[in-house]
Parts: sequence; C-alpha cells; structure tokens
Amino acid sequence: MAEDKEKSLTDETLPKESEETSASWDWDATVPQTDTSNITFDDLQETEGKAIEQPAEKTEEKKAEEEETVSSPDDDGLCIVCGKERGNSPSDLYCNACRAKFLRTNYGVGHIILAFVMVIVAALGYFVATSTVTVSSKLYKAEQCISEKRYDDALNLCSEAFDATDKLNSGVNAVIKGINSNVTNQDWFTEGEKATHLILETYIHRMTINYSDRSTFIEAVEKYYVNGELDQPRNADIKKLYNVVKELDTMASSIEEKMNSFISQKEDGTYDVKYDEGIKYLDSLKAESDVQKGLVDYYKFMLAYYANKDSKTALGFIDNAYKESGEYGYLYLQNYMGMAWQYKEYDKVLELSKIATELNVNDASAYYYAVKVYIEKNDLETADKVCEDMRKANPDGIDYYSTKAEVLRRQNKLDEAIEICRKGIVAGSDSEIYRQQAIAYLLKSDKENALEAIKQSYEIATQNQQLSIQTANTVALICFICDDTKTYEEVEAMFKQSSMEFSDSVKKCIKGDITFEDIFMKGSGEIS
Amino acid sequence: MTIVYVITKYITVIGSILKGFWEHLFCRILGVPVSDARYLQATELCGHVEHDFTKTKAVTFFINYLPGMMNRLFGYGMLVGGYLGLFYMKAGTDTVAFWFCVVLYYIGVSLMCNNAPLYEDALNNWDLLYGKGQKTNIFAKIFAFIPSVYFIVSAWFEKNGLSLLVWIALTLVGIFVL
Repeated sequence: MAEDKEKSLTDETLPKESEETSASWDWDATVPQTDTSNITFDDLQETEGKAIEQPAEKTEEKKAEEEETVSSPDDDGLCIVCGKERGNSPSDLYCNACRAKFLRTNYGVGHIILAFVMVIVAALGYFVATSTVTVSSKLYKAEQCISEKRYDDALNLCSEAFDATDKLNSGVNAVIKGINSNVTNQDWFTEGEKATHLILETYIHRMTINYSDRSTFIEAVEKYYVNGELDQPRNADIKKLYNVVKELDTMASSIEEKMNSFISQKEDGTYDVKYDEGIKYLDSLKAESDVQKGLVDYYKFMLAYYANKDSKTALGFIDNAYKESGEYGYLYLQNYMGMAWQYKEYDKVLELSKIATELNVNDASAYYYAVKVYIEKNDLETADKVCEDMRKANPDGIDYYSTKAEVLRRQNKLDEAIEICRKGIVAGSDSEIYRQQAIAYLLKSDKENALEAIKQSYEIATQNQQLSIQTANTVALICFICDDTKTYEEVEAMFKQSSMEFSDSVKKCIKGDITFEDIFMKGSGEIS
Repeated sequence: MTIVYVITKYITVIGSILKGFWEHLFCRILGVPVSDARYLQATELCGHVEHDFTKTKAVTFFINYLPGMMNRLFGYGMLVGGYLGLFYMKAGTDTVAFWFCVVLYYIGVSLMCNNAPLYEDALNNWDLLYGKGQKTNIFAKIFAFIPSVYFIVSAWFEKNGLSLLVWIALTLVGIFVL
C-alpha cells in the first residue's frame, strides 16, 4: 500500500512541490495496524500452497490482466493482510474477504457517544452564536453611531443589547428551572464590558454638570471598572472624564451645602437670595484648575438666576463656566442653551444649538430650541426645515412629531398638525403630542376631541411624573373652555397646593381678556 | 515535524477524534475499506483513519470534503459564539458566560483545527481532477477547484501544525487588538 501511494504521489502529473513534501512523509506509520491475530497458521499454509499452485493454473488472460494491474514491481498480487491472492478484489491491497472486513470496521462506542454529544454541543453553539451575534450586532451598530457622533442612538442600542441579554438569560434560566427548580439563576449570556464601555463613552460627549448625570457616571465607572480596568489604554478617555467629574463632584457637594444658606425658597414660591454674600463666598474659593473655576462660575450663575439678575449678568457667568472648562465646556452646554432660551437670547440659543448638534448629532433638545427660536422670530419656513433636520438626525425620536405639529399649527395647517400628532401617537405617544393635538383640535373648535386629547396628555404626564407647568396650564385652560369643571378644579387645586398660580395668559383667557387663538397662534404661540 | 503535528492533534483532541470519526463514517458510507480505525495515535495518521486508496474522482472528492465539512459545520457556531463573547463583548471573568464562552471557543477551535483531509488524500484528489491525462468534466473542474485548493492548503497547514498556530494568532488578536 505504501508503495502504491508513493507511486501515485510521485507520478509525473503531480506538481513538483508535492513530490518534495511527500518525500518527508513517514510511510512506515501508514502501514495498516489491523489486528491479524485471527489469521491462523493453517490459513497461511493454505495461502502459501495456493500461491505455489497458482502460477501453474494461470491462464494467458489472467497473466495479461495481472500485467495490466501491476503497477509496481513489488506488487505480488497478494492481499497485504492475509497474504492470499487478491483475485478480482476491487482493492489494490486486500483480498475480497479482508476488504469486506475493512468495510465494516467498528466505530467504537466511545466515538459514537462523542459524536452524539458534539451534535448537542454544536446545536448549543449555534444557539449561543445566534444570540451573541444579535447582541454584538447591536453593540457594533452602537460603535458605528459613536463614530458618527450619534450618541443618543448609541445609548439606545446599548440598552437594547442589555434588554436582549436579560431576555436570553431569563429564557435559559426558565428552561433550567423547568428541569430543576432548585437551580439558581445564572448569567449565561452577557453584553460584556463592551456595552458598559460604549455607554460610558457616550457620556464623554453628552454628559451634563447636573447632579444626576454626575452620580450616574461615577457609580457606573466604580461599579464596572474594578481591578485596574480603568487604567487600560482603551479606557483612557473614560478615566480622564472620571477624574474630572470626581473632582467637580467633590467641589460641588461642598458648594451646594453652603449654597443653601444663600438661597432659600419663600412660602409664595419665590426665592430669597443673599446674592452679594454668595458671590463673596464663591470668590473666596480657591479653584485650582480651569474646570474648578468653571464650576465656581456656574454656581455664580445659579445665584444670579435665583436673584433674578439681568440676562447679561446671569448668562455672563454661565458663559464663563462654559469657556473656562475648555474641552469639558459641554458639561454646561444644555443648561446654557436652556437658560439662553429662558432669557430670550435667541441668537445665543441658535449659536449654542449649532454647537450642540455638532457635538451630538442626535441632540433633540438643540433642534427643539432652534425650532422654538425660529417660531418666535416668525420664520416658520426655517423652523420647518430644522424640524426635518431633527427628524433626519433622530428617525426614531418622537420629539419630532410634537415639534412639527407646533410649526404646522403656527402655519395654520391645523388638519396636518392633527395628522402628524396621530402619527406620533402611533410611533410612541407622549404627553406633549397629545397636548399639541388638543390645541389644534380646539383651534378647529372641535371641543370633544380637544378634551379627549388633553385628558390623555394629563394622564400620561401624571403617570410618568412629568407634568410640566406648561402642560398643567394647558390642561386647565382647555378643560375650562370645554366645560370639564372637575379636571379644571383638580389642576387648580394642584397649583394652589404648590403655592403657584396659573400663568398670566391663562388667567387672561379665562377672564375673557384674550382668546385661545391669541395664545396659541400669535407671538411665541405658547403659554407664557 | 510529526511530533509538532501529533502535539497539535492532542491539544485539539476533541476535533481530532471527531474528524477521525467522520472520516470513518464517510468511508463506510462511500464503500472505502478502513484498515485502521484508531483516531488517536502518535503518527501522521492521528485524527484520520487508514483507508484504501480511492480511485474515483467523486469518492475521492467527498472523502476529502465531507469529514472536514462536518467539523466546520459543527465548529462555526461554537467558534463565532465563543469568539464574540470573549473578545468582542469581553465577557467578565466573574460571569458564567465567560467560562461558557471559553469552553465553546476551545471546542470550536479544536474542530476547526481538524477540518483538512490527509495531505496525501488532498494531492490524490488534485491529481485525479486536474492531473495530466485526466478527462474531467469542465464543470466538475470549476466546481471542485476552490475546495481542492483548500484541501491542499489546509492539509499542508495541518500537517505542519500551523492550523493551531493560526488560531493562536487569532486569539491573540482578539485579546490585544479587538
């Protein structure tokens, strides 16, 4: 057999390199290791006898056939196992009997069991692969979003990955519990450190100076990065931000403690602010780094805001905070934008909105403020354009629907506004979409639908504990106009309980000094 | 070189045994006598079976193709699941998922390191299909070309113990680059 193989492999039809490699092959090792213990001495004698007798019996035809089949001078036409004549065996090596035996070589029970186990493991492997691919594809997309500065999308995808993993784990644990109820739940699947890393990476670009953001970030880093993980080069940016935020957090905690003595809320809801004292205290603080100086200025802004200082003073402080913080200026960006809007510094809002969308393409609030500014400026065409940009940047975001409805309403396209709200409700309704729909209905004098929509808005807002002053005012006004006294009184009581009053425009409208159209179709188009 | 080959076969023992088993199974299905069915032995036959030299193109091709295909088919899922879990998602070592992925990855690598035919079988297949004087159907030649090249290359890699080295390199890429 070995010779046969060698001959075939060294045939001139084969490529040269194969000749070289086959030359180094250990042919001795390939000699059949079949157990020949079952071949008796008699068998061998018989074979020998036949072998001696055969040449005399050979016909001319057989000789010719043998000449044709013999490819090697060493091939004696005998079975290499039993030594018998191969005869008409289709094998070059074995006689028919040995060949038949080799065609039925046993597999071995152990090997069959292993193969069976591997079928199960392979099936398990495919299940794991499918699940892992599902989760990792989300993380991969999140990674892409981060590279495209779509941080909100990245965050959504990461939370989808977490949800998918939870679902898989609960599914597998339920199956295992079905077999043995005493088994404890295990994390068979994990979104791994990758998901945490991606989430924290989004924080690097979309974080704010607010307490909740600071504490969430610090907690996440301390929870997930243990045993020197944070020192890994891939986590360098996260570590840098962590150190900055930690530094700011320590300073902010001590300042906030002191700030309570400078700002106190009065019973009527207004604030009593010791402005000069507060500024003096903040000036006395020794800020070592630029980010610390920025934080001090941010608290000066807070003082100015609560003390009802003019926009130049208040915004001047937050502008300092934003600029002094250098690369971490974005921590103040959202607050700065919101305050600029509140102080009616519309050009500043547009400037900051542009910066915010450059930093985070998905920043819906930046688009929202820009739309509001254009509405205020009565540039409804540009407002509409920004709305579409908002949609493009957040195809799945529902903020688009309410913002677009507001623009359409101001363009007096009430039917279209109602329709866009309907689409928004299908896409994932929120309180604001229903509020916009209610306003549009009432402007069309459809009191029934207006009341139904505003009640939905009120219900969702209270359920989610996100009832804004604006929504509460709108609910009160529409319920008053639509004669829903019960809800109107409920909201009125809520205002009184919080030592607050309805806004001026609502009060005037209830008195009959101005109309509903005056509030929602003129000026800012909103409750002031 | 035999010692390196045998070491790689013993490191990837599950794949070696399974590859031998598939080879044995397909030899029996395709009517090729198997004279030595010891899947693990310290020779070049480790992870293979000693079978009669095949003479027809189809049988030769399938004896080369099917056993390896089975190991690939079984191994892909485990390899992908394990690799992504360990190196892309970076499962934490304190989770069950990590060890689960380690086991799957090892078995996957073990199967993928044993998906090539015996080098001599691969050359025989090439000879029968593309050798001088062989009258092979052009469509069969086209269809079998890429697999036949793959048989020779992968068998050469396996013969020299390089397949495991490739997987070790990919593992290191996973650890240090991904």
